[in-house]
Formats: sequence, C-alpha cells, structure tokens
Amino acid sequence: MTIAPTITNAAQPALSVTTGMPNLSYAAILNSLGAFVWLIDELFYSAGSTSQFSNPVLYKIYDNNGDTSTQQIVTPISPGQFQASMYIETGNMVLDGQTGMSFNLNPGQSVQFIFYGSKKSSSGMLDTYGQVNNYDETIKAMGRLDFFDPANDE
Amino acid sequence: MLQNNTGFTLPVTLLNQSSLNGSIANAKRIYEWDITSAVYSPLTFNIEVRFSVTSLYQNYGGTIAAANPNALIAALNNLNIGAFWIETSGPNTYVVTYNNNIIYRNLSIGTMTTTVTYVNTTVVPGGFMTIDVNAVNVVNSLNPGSFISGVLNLIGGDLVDVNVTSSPAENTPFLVSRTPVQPPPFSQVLHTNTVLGSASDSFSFNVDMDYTYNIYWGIPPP
Repeated sequence: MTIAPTITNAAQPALSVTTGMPNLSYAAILNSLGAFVWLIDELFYSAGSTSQFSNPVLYKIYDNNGDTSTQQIVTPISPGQFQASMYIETGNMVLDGQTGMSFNLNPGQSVQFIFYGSKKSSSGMLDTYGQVNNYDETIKAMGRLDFFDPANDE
Repeated sequence: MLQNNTGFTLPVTLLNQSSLNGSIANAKRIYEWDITSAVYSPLTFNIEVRFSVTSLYQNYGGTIAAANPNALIAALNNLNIGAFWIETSGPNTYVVTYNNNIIYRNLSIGTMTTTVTYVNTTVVPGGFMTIDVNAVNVVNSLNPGSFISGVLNLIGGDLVDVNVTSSPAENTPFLVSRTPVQPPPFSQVLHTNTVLGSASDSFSFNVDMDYTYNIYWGIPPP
C-alpha cells in the first residue's frame, strides 16, 4: 500500500528548542560543533514534572571503528523525589557534532539542559609541555609570546 | 530549553549534526501519512526522500519487526532521516513528522504500488470505458451519464487492458500516458487515438514501478 503525505505548515513547531542566550539559535550552536568541541563534566537537567524523568536520556558516541556506543546518562529519579531536576556528573562527555543525546519528550512537557564544561581544541597537543588541548596555554608553556603581538616583529 | 507543543510523545535527538537535516527542532512543515488501512504484509516498508529541491528522490526502507504502527515507527526512526511518531485522531492513525529540510513523499507499507489514474469525461450515454487489470474487470463505466474518475494502486508487472467505446462513433480523444516517478516529471504518451470517427479503441500495458499512469477518455488533460 502506497500512501501519499498530507503536507501542511503549522503555526508553531512540534518541538521548540531555544538557547538561554539572546540572538543565539539552537541551529547556530549545532552548526558550530566540530569547529568548537566541548568537554562536559556536569549537566543540570530539569523538567516541568517528575514524570519526564521516567524517560531515560541516552548519550550516543561513535568510536574509532565507526561503531556507535550508547550510554544512559540520566537515570530515573527516586520515587520519593519532589524536585523535577537533577545534577549529573557526566564524566568525559564530548560534544563535537558526532555525538548527541536522545530521549522521548512527553506531551506538552518542557525540559531544560544546562551544560557545564570547557571548550577544547580539536587539534593535537604537544605532550612535552604537559598541556592539554589549549593553544594559549601551549604557547605560554613554550615561553613564547603571542604570534600576533607586534612586539615579536624583528 | 525544549518544549513539546503537541499532545504526543516526541522522539528528540539533540546536538548531533548527522541528524541536522532530520531534526524536528523548530520545524513547522508537517508531513502526515494516514496508515489507518495499512496492511503489513509483507513486513516491509519504503519511504521516498530527497534532501534538497535539486536532488532526486531516494528510497529508504527495510523490514518491520511486527505488524503494528509502533514497529513501523521504530523502523523509520532507525533510518536516521528524521523523527517520526504516531498520532491518532478519532479512528484514524497517522505517521507524523516535522521537517523544514528533508522533503518526503510516498510511504509504502507491505507491497509497493504505483498509481494508475483514470478519467472518463464522456458523460453522454454510449461513451463508456472498461479497465481490466490482470483479466479482472475493475472499472466499468458503461453508459455513465456522469463524470467517472478514480485511482488504481497496482504493483509492477500488472497487465492493464483499457477498452473504450463511443456510440455513435465520434471523435472522442483517447489518451494513455505515463510520468516518471523521479524528476524531471515529463509525461510520455503511450497511446493516443488519432483515428477519426472510430467507435472503439483499446490499449494494453504492463505497469512499471518507476512510473505513474494516466488514462483519459474524453476531453484530454490540459
């Protein structure tokens, strides 16, 4: 049986996704991943009601073989918990555009994610100087001034 | 902040660029397929998708684990070409997705079919048309007295015999054409009755899944 779709335009999206910063869209953040790599070590997750926490939040990552690995980063809350929010220590959760989170969002429900972490470079680092993934720190550790500093001109 | 503005549970994928085009985030274009009458035999499905207005439609499909809408949704979501869910409205069941980037077309469940559209505009008595599919008469517009039209869903290889008769003999146009499913959508004329004053005509063809077909008896299409 072949079924043709009915195509319409809705007044509002089924899923609204906004950032907490004015003039910064979710699409802009999504497109920036890869150029900007984030290492998340803590996550704040809140919902409109505790019933949303019965839906696990999964974190999917690809390994070097291209195989996917799925981890559950948000577990159901205690039945006695009243607050519809939680802090989660995510460990080395990387956001680079190739990873992502997936979950089911209940009807009419709203959730909020606040990510705590640091921006990392996608390039390799010089182990000799004991620095990790930060150009500025590497340059200072090497005892060199900023390349663009006019004082470096000879 | 994420807000579900519907009365249904939504599958959400967040911060994954590989699902950028398939993301439902902030999308307002709705695609709905009415699967109320779907027959899940065999347990296969196919959906036609194109990723830009300049690309060709591609077929994505596979097998369904069970004969129910939830299994169909799980199979669709595994394709990573969007997020699909089930919505119900009264007795009807729909597969729904929102997407501003990907363009979806036909969803086939079970046996894939293509369409044969027929139109008989010879509303005067005596101008009738019969269509036999695989030697089984399915359309008989004998002395219709009114406009006759419809759509047949056929599978590849089906034999279609079209017979048209006008009484008295008159210069009634008879046209059979086909249009490729993939663009460019230029129709190809398979048969046209160019003999003036003929009382009857007929044409037979085997259905090819890469085309849709149109049969006109009477005033030709614009």
